[in-house]
Amino acid sequence: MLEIRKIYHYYDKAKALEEINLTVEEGSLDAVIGPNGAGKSTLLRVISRLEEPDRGKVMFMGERIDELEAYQIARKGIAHCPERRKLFYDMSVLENLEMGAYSLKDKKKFHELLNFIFEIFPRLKERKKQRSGTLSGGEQQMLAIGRALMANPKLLLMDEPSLGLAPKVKTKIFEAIEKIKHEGTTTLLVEQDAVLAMAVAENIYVLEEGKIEIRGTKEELEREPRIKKVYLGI
Amino acid sequence: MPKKIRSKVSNTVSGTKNFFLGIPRATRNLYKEIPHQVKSFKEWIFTFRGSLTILCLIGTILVPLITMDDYIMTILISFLVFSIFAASWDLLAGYTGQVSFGHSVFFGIGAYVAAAFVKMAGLPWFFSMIIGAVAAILVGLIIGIPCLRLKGPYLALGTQAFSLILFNLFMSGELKDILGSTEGISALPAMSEAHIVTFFFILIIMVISFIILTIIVKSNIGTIFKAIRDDETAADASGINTTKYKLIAFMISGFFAGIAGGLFALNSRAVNPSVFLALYSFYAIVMVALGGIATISGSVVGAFIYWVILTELFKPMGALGTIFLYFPTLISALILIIMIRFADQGILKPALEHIREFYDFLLGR
Ligand SMILES: Nc1ncnc2c1ncn2[C@@H]1O[C@H](COP(=O)(O)OP(=O)(O)O)[C@@H](O)[C@H]1O
Ligand SMILES: [Mg+2]
Repeated sequence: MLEIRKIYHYYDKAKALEEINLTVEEGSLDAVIGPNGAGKSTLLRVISRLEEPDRGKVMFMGERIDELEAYQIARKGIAHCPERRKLFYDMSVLENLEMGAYSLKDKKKFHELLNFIFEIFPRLKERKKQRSGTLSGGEQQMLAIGRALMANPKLLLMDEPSLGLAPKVKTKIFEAIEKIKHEGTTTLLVEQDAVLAMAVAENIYVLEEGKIEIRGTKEELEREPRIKKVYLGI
Repeated sequence: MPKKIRSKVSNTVSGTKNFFLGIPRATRNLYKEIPHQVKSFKEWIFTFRGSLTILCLIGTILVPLITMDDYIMTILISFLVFSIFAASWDLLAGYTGQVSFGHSVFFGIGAYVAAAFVKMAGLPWFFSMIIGAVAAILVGLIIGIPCLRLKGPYLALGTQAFSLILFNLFMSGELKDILGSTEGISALPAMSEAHIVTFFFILIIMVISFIILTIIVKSNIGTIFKAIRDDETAADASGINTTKYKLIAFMISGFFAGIAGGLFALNSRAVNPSVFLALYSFYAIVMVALGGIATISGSVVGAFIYWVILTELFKPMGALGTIFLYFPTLISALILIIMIRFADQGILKPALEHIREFYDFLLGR
């Protein structure tokens, strides 16, 4: 479904991504793990074209998309749930969700999605009318995910959904991610917390200093001594 | 061209191109929301800000019935005209987050073009004013396109630069024959012999402008504006063509600022290059700040405080020395600084919170 070929990205002269090759198959949940500053967010931003890659191609459902603009990519069915939530803080929870459904034409689908989101995040339903800036960190993350889902995406990009959350809340978020996976939404997840990511993902990429150092299925990576030591702490 | 800049330019250009491909969905469906709007208007009247606004308006309507004093009329007309101007700034800055410090450009163009059509073509005021406002839309586009990629203080400076350019252009002696230089356009005909006709004309235009602006910000397109203001990246990622909607905001705002400029020319029956001064942009900002940002109706209250209360309060002191005539401006500048430092929600909001509670209490809420 998503195919990234030889992507390079620089911030001015500083290299952030180097020869990235990555494929996400339809229906799967894949994860990119790596330390802070590895280039994980940059990778997602390049896919959704919030950042323009310097070289390489991004293919989505057989079509080249790296030359489109961000809003066009969103309309193709790629939803980006950005790092640090980036909500519309002055708007209510419901308005945020409505904005997420901006390019969705189908009214019936809208209500279906809304119900699904309220089902996986009952908290949001209770706080429908509340201004999103006043939500707790965990609730804001739920809303960010909900807003991305409201676009009924074919591909969901999630950037560090566990960032800055208490362990209990992290677990809740990842339970929701499992449910989203069951619904069949193809997802590319970026996460520092390797334990959490590896618990849900099928294929895993380890990104270090802008390069993919190790790749493999969950089982393969669990056998890698270096992964065990550095990322899983066993 | 460096890659980043190139991509920015091409983004802006293609965004602009798409813009012309048709009226956006959100704008087309505006009329469908009218019943809903009427309902929320009824609710609004009984809110604190709503009744305050209505009170300001009723007071304004009553005055000509009591006195037709030219001086008082002029004050009231200034209040009406500048409330539209302030509201147009509020739409762009308060709702869409595009803080312009060059809003006088729209005001000035609206005033000049309206004056030119009245004087040279002999058109009626109403049509000249509309033409002036349309010219301001075009200027909104011309300014909007290069300024779209600027953010925060850079946008403020960029728009300010445009007002400086226009001020100097209209001042220039070389273009005297076309633009009138320092004298501008003067000795414009009055709309009617009776002062009261002009007054009510301006009042009606003002009320209509506020109704339209309120409908816009309360509708779908207003929500899109707010989304862009709150987080442009997230708006982009939600599939909103932010370039297009920022341009729309510039144009709507330009239109109403242009209307205000036309009415200003109608009232003073003359225009000169000073309408492009940063001072006028500053007026808009102060009035919105006083009345509350991102409220539209707050502009009525803000303009009332500035033109009727503050200005009149210090006018008698003008006799003591001309320096006192600058007092309202000075005080507003101070208020603005204090507000930016301490109360980014507008000064009225916190200060009148208590009065509001009392008001709610009176209504038994
Ligand atoms: N907007 C930016 N401008 C310049 N450098 C940036 C920018 N964003 C990220 N970087 C740099 O690029 C590298 C990768 O950052 P990022 O993609 O945010 O990493 P991660 O998400 O894995 O923590 C870091 O060295 C970071 O400092
Ligand atoms: Mg990151």
